[in-house]
Amino acid sequence: MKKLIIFALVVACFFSYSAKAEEQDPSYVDDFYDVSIIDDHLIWIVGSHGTILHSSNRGESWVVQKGGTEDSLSSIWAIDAKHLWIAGTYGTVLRTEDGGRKWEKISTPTKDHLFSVQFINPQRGWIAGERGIIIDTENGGGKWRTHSFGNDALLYGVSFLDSQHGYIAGEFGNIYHTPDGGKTWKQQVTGIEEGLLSERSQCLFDILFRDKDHGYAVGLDGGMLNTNDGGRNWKYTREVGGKNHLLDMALGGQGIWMVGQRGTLVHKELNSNRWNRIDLGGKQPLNAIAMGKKLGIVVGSNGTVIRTEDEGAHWEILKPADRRGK
Amino acid sequence: MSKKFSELLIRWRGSVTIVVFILTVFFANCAYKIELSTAFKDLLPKDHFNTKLHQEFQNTFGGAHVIYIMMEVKKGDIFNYQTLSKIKEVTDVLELTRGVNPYQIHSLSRHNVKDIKATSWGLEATPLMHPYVPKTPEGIEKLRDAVYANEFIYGHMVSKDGKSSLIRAEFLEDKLDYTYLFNRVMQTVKKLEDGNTSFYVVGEPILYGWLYHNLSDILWVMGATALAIIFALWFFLRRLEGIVIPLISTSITAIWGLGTTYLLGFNFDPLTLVVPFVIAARTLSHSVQMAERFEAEYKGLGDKKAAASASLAALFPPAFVAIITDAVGVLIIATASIPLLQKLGVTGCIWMMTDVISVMIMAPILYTYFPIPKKEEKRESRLFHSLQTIGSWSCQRNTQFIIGAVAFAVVIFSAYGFQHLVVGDSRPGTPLLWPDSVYNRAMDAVNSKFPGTNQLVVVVRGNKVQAIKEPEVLHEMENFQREMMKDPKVGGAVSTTLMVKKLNETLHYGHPVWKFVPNDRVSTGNLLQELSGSGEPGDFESLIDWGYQYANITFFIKDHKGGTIREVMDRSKEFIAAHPSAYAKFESGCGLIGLLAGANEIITKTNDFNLVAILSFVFICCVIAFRSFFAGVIFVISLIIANFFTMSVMSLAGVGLNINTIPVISLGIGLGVDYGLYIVSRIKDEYATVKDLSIAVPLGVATAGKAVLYTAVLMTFGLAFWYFSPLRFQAEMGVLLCIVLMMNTLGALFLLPTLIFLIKPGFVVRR
Repeated sequence: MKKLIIFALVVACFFSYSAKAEEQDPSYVDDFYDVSIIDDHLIWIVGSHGTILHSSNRGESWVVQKGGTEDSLSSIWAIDAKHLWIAGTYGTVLRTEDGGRKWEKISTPTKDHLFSVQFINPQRGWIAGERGIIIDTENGGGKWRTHSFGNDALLYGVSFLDSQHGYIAGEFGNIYHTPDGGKTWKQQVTGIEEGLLSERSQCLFDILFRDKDHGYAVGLDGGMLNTNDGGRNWKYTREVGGKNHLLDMALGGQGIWMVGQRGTLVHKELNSNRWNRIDLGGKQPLNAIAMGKKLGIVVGSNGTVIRTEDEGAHWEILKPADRRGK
Repeated sequence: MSKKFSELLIRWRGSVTIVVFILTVFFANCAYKIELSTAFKDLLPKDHFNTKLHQEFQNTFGGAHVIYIMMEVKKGDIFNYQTLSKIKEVTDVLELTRGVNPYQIHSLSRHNVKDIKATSWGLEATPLMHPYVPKTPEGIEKLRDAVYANEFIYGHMVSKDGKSSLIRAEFLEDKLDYTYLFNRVMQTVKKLEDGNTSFYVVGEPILYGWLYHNLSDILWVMGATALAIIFALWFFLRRLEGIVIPLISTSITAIWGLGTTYLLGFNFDPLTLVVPFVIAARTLSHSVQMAERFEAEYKGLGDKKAAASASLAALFPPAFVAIITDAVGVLIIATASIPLLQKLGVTGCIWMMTDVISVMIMAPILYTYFPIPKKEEKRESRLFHSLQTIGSWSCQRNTQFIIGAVAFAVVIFSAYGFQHLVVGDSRPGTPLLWPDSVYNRAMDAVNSKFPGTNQLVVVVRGNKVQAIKEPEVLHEMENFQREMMKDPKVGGAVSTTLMVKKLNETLHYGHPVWKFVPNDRVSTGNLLQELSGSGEPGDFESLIDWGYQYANITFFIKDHKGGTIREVMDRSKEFIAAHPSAYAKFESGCGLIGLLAGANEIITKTNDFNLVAILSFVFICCVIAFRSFFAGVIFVISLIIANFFTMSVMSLAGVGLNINTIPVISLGIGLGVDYGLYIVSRIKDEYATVKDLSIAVPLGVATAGKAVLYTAVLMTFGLAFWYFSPLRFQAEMGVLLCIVLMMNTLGALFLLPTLIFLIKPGFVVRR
């Protein structure tokens, strides 16, 4: 009998180990759309088909977290190691209060696609999406306020410096500023023209302010806008990322990092005007970047995950997207 | 009865010879006209679901006759005028090649390979490199950007390192001419190769092209084998009739066999050249038995006619049973629903049955016409005594134990090896050619740069027109792809879903978060409509039909090993079973992988059935021939050991059970029965005279065993030349047959006599 119990335990351990091992093997074929880093070792990645991946050891190993949705998850924001928010297509909003062990689907007043989320604390946050919609909450998703610009424009990027001052960027080169936490929004003059035929036409995919004066917005064909006066004046620079769309930005390692189509990763020291293009050896679209103190992660299509552990001096591919080519 | 028949035959020998001669001339005339060709459809199981699916969709979604041409540069990448021009030149040649399906050519320079862009006036689809190759640096840079931005091209048509480009072309089955296609393609790429540019050409039509290309070498190997056997015959027998008569018998069999094949309207596949060779080996085996028996009878009777008549009378029962067993054993292959096997089964059976004419009728008659044999007594008696000693081991306790132990070890080894036998191919490239052959090296190169050259096409059959526009269908297609792509053996996938997602992304400034299939019917309908409108007729036909009722998912599989095919097909079938759709039915089984899966399934069934059928038939024949249940049991035991041993050797040598190997195995196994029948029959005859098994067994082994040993040695000597064949398959079959021959010889010389001695079955010791 004793032997039988030991045997049963061994079998049970084996099967539980197998199940765990399977769970730890994330799908390589999904596209990853956003990444967040906390405490320089905790990483979360979101992507297509409701993919949520988490690593608690700087990307050495990964677990799949269950968000309970098959919709694409476009944006993730980590407030701290416990509190995270995710936004996705068809009005999908997910929240966790325990680092992702349990993700809760939050009901919102929209079924439109949502592309960018930012929370400054577990209660206060903003989410931007299609059809010129921005929703915000002051009580952790219990109640949402909807603001629509009424121009059917896609809004791809949100950047709040504090609970009052924030920026949104999106289609037609539109940048909006709020000085009151989102109650009122004012469109800024960027010099970008509407219409795809114009050379100055733009669609902005991300916006980032490092302080109240200095901000960046990036988008189509590697174009970049930057301001040194809180958005009163914007300067347009062409082809910072070559002709490849720039999709996301992050601050880290005394500089700013931008990623985009065809393996584009560009970097600039804050006190320099020179952009450095870093060759990661692949042509997969790089969709998002997050930088910690030392740790940095870039994610992209077909399961691409690229890591730096020395503020961007060296990069290594963790989940090679080109797996099938080998 | 056999005595009367043999006397009658010798009496009418002149007339019989004339009739056989006339018929042989007639069959030779037919054999001369036989077509040496491979018909791909003959390799497919005709009633299998996958074959029917393939036949239904091969002209729209593509069949299995695909060739892949990879161009690779050593320095730099392909993005320069000179290199890109080579792609265009190859593509232009393919477009004008006879038998090509014009809608199924995919290359950077084709008009249907386009860059789709969203503009303020709608979608704009412009060919990437058609009709002209860009010459300016700007034009080339624009092409490079378009390639890297397009998932259909980057990774599928241009390698991830930018150093290789893949051209894919499909050919219509009924218009396929392997030699013409092979020569045309190979000459084109050879002309374009230079120090920096290499070409690699693969695909089933090219493989068959290589086989035809090597045909003359294969025939040389066959010729060398025949000469080696003649030399060995002369070395052993050292007498004219001992060489000429077996050769005449073998020639008659070959001529009649080939003539019948022509008369039945069948072609002759070069890959099945091994089969007639094995049949010829069997004829030779029977002929040598007859030669030895004639010599023995002549020694006693001193009269050629009487000796010929006595030889036939003595050998008639075992020879007839052996021939019938061989013939039916081959005929059983015809139960498989694969036309190639059916043709082989029928022609092989007829071919085997001609041994009755060539060996049992003509050989004794011919002996009466030849001069009296002269013997080298010394050499003869030495071999006779050696075999007698071997035979005596079956009657001694110590050696019986050793024979038993070895037999047991063989059984254990066979049981172990048999479990690992692979149905289908067991190697990544083609097992027909050597690993370092140009074809297999090209296969490795292409598979290392691109998703895979073996396609599995899953058909999505909508239940009504426009059904594919339903989001549920498109989502299921995408989920299917995701599920299959979890298997590392699946290198890539292409479908309408990918186009829809890509278009959705393109329409939203190319932002990747839009790369999904919308959930509403209006959006999916619009996207598909936009897609169709952006191209020219035929552009998307390989993915979806114009009525939006039929679509497909094409998976690129890294290899076509039996295990891979089974794994991939099981995965696809499991998904289909678990995800029924209200709007469409998913059907997995088109493309090379689907067709091979069907063939492998049939081969598994055929092999199991064959074994049971052959065993049953041998059992019945032996029971009837020897009028003994034990006779059946003894022969079936030896057959089981030989069969499982053959398959074990195959599995350990990495040779899979496939359409090419299964006939060889079925034929090879029968050799064991032949050898055993002759030896047991002779022991029975000797026992009738000496009434003592300890004398009869060694005598039987020494007399009938001598012919067995001769045949085995001379065949092995001949088969050694197969090792030099340009076909790995032929070389492996040569080695395999050598092992089978050796095992059967050892079984007939050691195991069967021991079993007879120990069991003392009634059919041998009966008064």
